[in-house]
Amino acid sequence: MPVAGLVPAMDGSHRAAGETAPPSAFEKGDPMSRRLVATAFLATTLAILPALALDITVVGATPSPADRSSVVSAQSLKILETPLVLPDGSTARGLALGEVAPLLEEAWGLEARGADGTKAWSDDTLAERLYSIYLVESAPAAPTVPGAPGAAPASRGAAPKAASGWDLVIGKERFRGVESLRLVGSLLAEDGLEVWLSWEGVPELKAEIARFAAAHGKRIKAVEVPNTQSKLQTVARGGGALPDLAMIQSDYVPALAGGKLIQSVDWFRMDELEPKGYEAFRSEGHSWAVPFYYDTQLVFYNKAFVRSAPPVDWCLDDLAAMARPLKGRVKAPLAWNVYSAYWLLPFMLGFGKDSVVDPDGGMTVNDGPTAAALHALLGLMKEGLLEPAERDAMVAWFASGQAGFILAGSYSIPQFSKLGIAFGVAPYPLATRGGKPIAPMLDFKGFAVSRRTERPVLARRLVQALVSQGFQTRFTSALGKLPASLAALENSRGRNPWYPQLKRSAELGAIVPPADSYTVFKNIMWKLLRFILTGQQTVEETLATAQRLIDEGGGPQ
Amino acid sequence: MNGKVLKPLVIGLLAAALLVGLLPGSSVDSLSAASAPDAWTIKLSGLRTQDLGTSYYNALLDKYGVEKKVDKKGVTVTYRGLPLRYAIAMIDGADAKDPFTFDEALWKNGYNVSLVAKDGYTASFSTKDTAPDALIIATFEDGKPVMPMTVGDTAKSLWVKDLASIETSLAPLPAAAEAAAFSLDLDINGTKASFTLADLQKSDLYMEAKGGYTTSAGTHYEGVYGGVKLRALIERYAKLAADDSVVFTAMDGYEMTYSGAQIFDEKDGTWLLAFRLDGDYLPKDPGFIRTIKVGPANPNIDGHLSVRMVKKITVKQAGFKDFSLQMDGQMKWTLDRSTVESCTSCHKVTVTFEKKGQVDTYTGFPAWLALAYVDDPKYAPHKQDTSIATYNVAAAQKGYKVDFVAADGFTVSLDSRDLDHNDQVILAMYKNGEVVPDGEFPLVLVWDRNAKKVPTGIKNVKMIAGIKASGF
Repeated sequence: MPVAGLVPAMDGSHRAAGETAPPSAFEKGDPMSRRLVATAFLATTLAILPALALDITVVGATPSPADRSSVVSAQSLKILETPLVLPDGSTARGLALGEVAPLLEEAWGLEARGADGTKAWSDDTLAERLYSIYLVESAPAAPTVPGAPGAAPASRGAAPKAASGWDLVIGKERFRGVESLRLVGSLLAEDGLEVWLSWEGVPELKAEIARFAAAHGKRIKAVEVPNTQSKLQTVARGGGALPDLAMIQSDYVPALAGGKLIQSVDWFRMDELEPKGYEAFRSEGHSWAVPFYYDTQLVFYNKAFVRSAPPVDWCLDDLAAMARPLKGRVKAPLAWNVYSAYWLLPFMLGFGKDSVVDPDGGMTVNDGPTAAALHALLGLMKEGLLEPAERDAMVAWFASGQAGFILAGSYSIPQFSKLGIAFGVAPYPLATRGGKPIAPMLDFKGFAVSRRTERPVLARRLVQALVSQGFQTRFTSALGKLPASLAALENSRGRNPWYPQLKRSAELGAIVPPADSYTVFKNIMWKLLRFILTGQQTVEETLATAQRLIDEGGGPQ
Repeated sequence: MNGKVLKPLVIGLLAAALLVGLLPGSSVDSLSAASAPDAWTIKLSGLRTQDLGTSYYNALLDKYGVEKKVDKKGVTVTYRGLPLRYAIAMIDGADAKDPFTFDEALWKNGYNVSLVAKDGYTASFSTKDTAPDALIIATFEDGKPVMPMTVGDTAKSLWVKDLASIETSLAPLPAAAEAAAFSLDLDINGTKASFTLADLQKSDLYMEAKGGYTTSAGTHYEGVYGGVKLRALIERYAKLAADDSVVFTAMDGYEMTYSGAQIFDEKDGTWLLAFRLDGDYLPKDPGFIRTIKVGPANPNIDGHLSVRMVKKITVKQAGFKDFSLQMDGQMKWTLDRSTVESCTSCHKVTVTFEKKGQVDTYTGFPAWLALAYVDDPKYAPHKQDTSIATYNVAAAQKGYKVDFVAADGFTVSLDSRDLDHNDQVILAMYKNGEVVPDGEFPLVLVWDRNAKKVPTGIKNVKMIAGIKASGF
């Protein structure tokens, strides 16, 4: 986990080979001496700061032996702080209260004491909101004369003190110089959670979960599972123990929800998360997973051949025009997995389809937009510009300078950076000049809660931590993912050099639909697209066959 | 206001008053629950499914209702409701109507109970860890009616408001139920058969070995697959030829065809209809059944060749010709080709037949077995309990005439005493490993050249169309 101020995540200093400015004097030094300098800097900073420890007490409605008090050191707070976007839109450095408060089953009162005296809040949902309540580094207090216009009113019974250390931010309220917090509620007794993880970043995720578990004295087992849908179904069939939480993707929803393996998370709605993420897991009128992160699709271009970034409103013809000079110079001016329905869908949308799935839940492929999309792609292939390639081959060509433009997921950014490829990214172009955008697919991953969990609150607390702004900023920026947290995405503005392209893609993007018909469509098109692309059948013949098979195999339920 | 208007108005007002419970004679529900009759239903699922509606709940509440005092934010709150056990009793056994018996032993043995709210929130517990009366389904909170909720001497996560359903692990999950209901269908030259996964698991053709496939993206998958041998299963119904087509139909309707030659290609491994991988059953996708090659050499096939979600296998052989065998005697039967093939499969005998210096091997079944269809007026093979012997030994040993009749009318008559238990005289479908050729098709009467007992008057009869028994 990056220590604030020492190892920036995606702050713009993350550079690809060939793109760097000359290293600074600090960067020129050897790693050990850089660490020593940084440590000295941190120690000095902490020494200057007031040695402020934060008291957090959890009490029940009446005093009892179960009441618990903990002290969180300033150093701990400093280590955990990240850039934050606060509810009022301002930015600060800080952390969520949930990161340091004990885990609570429920809480209905919060009392803060500090520079602003004493203030109390009552809210039955406090325990659910601890990751949206922040401790931020105090802003310097403006000198005030009590009673003067604009002076902040003193809390009853206390003379206002000069604010220092940390402020508590609840909604748009800011309580300055907090020294102690008293939460009225009950501690969470649930323990022994099992979480199944998949896809990229599992080691980092396991480390975060381990940190959460250690911080709260809980046992949490995090297991990497290659295909969580398959494993959930297999374990359920065999009567085995299901996990409490599992990472899933959109197209797992129909089978897992229909199979009564996961529970609806309608009760877990968080406005702080990307709404498209909830839609990505919405089926039969309910949401089935809490969105965690997502990937989008981008155009990657080789900077050795493409000197300037494409314009924002570029179209497919512009892409072809930029690729044309590469014909004969490289193996593939353009390359992507044309055989895959997943990479065809954006073009279907760009050429006029209103939505991936029809309103009645079915999928239509035998239509004008799909035919137009395929004819456009065939045109690029016939001209010798587009070379179909599956992912590994495409990446190999791109890395070796044998492909000019490829379509790939945003998850490729860290990979290509590590490979030292000189690349740029651009959002998908419009299908036609002035027309609709070729809409990149937004591939969300989320956390589903088991229908049979005996630890629903602990599961919920862990998910609240994983989708909190601070965690999302740390985790997703390091892996080139787009965070489900809107604030975390906003946080990356100015820090992530790809922010403009990612943001635009997120705005234009369409979700992978959680519909049975999409799964049927994907499987059928995977088998049939090659008939078109190899010239064995016409577009129209193949689409008619595909439509028949889709309607027979997986129409609306 | 005249009487014509007043009377209906009064009636309407009275009806309205009755409905809102202002008048005596309103439903008992208005006293014991402020919820309107059947205002809510809790769905229960276990060994049975049942809806718990307001009316029945209220009747139980009157008899068995209890109070629970719990602490809510430092304040003692009193709930009145029905112990959960009474709802569980409706679904934990075979009782389909009141009175329902609660199975305490089953509860102590342990199963999972999930409490589901209207908004989908679900909390579960194991019955092993919770007393049956720990939770109540409450509809009163400090005397005020509330929508049904669970509350009691448990963690607050199990206090589920707006209870919509109670599910137990006594009901199989849909995935398990779907797998149990799945069948693999065979259609081999019109002969149909179906097998559940349990049937296939028990089959003598089941085996486990390592195998894998590589996708077109170059991703390599392997594991220990368990399933039934594909070729052996098909050849229980028909002998495959290299140019035959085997069509696999997947659950989504997709079809893929293998040639017989592809299935014969087992030099690096055995083709399996696999339904287990590394000890687990395959889920519906890519299962329940997929084709894969396995063996000591850990073969790896092209991913396209591994057919997923196999539902049906159809074989229509290129040279397939149908036929029937007419049986006539004390009863009449028409045996179709699949019956004859089954008989051959189950009672296979191969003889070396010599005729005019030409030696061939023929495979079929002993002719005497066919006589069981016609040697008495009551019993025929596979038509009644297996404890009943269908072959009439006494009649055979007493002696009756058996005519083997060819399609062109050529007939050879033999004595049942010469055929009785004589396994070296057979009706053959195969010659030298292939189906008998035209000119002999469908069945030939042959005998082993070294047979101990060669029936008097026996001749080689080709193109047998029927067998007639007489002289009983």
